Amino acid sequence: MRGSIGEEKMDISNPHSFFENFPRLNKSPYPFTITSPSDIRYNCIAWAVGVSNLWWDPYHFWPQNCPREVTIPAFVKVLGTLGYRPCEDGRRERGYEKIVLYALGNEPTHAARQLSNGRWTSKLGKSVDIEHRIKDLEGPCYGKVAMYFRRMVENI
Amino acid sequence: MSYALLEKNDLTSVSPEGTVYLGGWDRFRPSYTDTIDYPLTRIYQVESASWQTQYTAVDVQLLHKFNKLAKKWKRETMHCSLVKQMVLHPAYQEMIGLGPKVIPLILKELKKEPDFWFWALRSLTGVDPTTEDMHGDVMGMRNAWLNWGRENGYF
Repeated sequence: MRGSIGEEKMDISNPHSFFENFPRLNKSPYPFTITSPSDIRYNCIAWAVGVSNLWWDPYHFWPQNCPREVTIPAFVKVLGTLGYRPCEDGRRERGYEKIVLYALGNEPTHAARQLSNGRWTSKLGKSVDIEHRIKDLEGPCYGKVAMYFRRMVENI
Repeated sequence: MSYALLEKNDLTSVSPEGTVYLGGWDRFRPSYTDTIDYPLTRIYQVESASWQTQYTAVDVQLLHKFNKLAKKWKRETMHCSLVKQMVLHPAYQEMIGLGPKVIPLILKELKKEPDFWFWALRSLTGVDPTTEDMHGDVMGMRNAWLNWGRENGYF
């Protein structure tokens, strides 16, 4: 199985189902890395904005005054409250932190955050965190990359 | 002297007339028949029994159906990040469709492992023991429901 396990117990409990959802991960010339174990306390949106103890969702924790709906405009507003603005692409830019939003049709499904090495980190729902290339999560589960966002940060 | 007529994991059923049929083969049952004259409509598995002959039992067919749906739901929503995708999953909807009988089964699942059973429990019970400050705190919401289950006699 492609990919690597960083520590004991950080495994994919159902590899068949995992690669059905993310077929590109299995075929990518750049292996992904599992970087933390399954944890139901947080999801991809939370992880993308740097939170690991809350489930960010329109029907659970959601920033105030943001529409409680699963739409791209709602997510644009949510990320806007944290200083993220839409940008053109996912190329690494010094001084900026980036987030990518995936969608199935017009419905957001997943968000990932760019790391300082240019790769991306994702929390896969209730499952593990992985480090991966941006296009490798496109597929039947998360759809396609829909939008990129960036905000200025120091030390990047 | 009273004694338990049924024990945990015994299989039993109740005929339309109310006669209890027992699946245990090696215990003395003075008051109940142990023959089956016609097809059983429901088979129950005893979950607990007491010396006062009171017992709780779960419909085995319901249990099997629920377990199959729960397993499918968990497997197919493992990578979902948004609650909407999880609760609209056909298996989740089908579990809610089984009705309030599955409330104890859901609470047992929640006790075994935290997961997004909250929507189903709200739909089936009509109540919500979670508070706004718990929203997003999966373990907090889980504990609120488990406490509710205890207070309402499900555990």
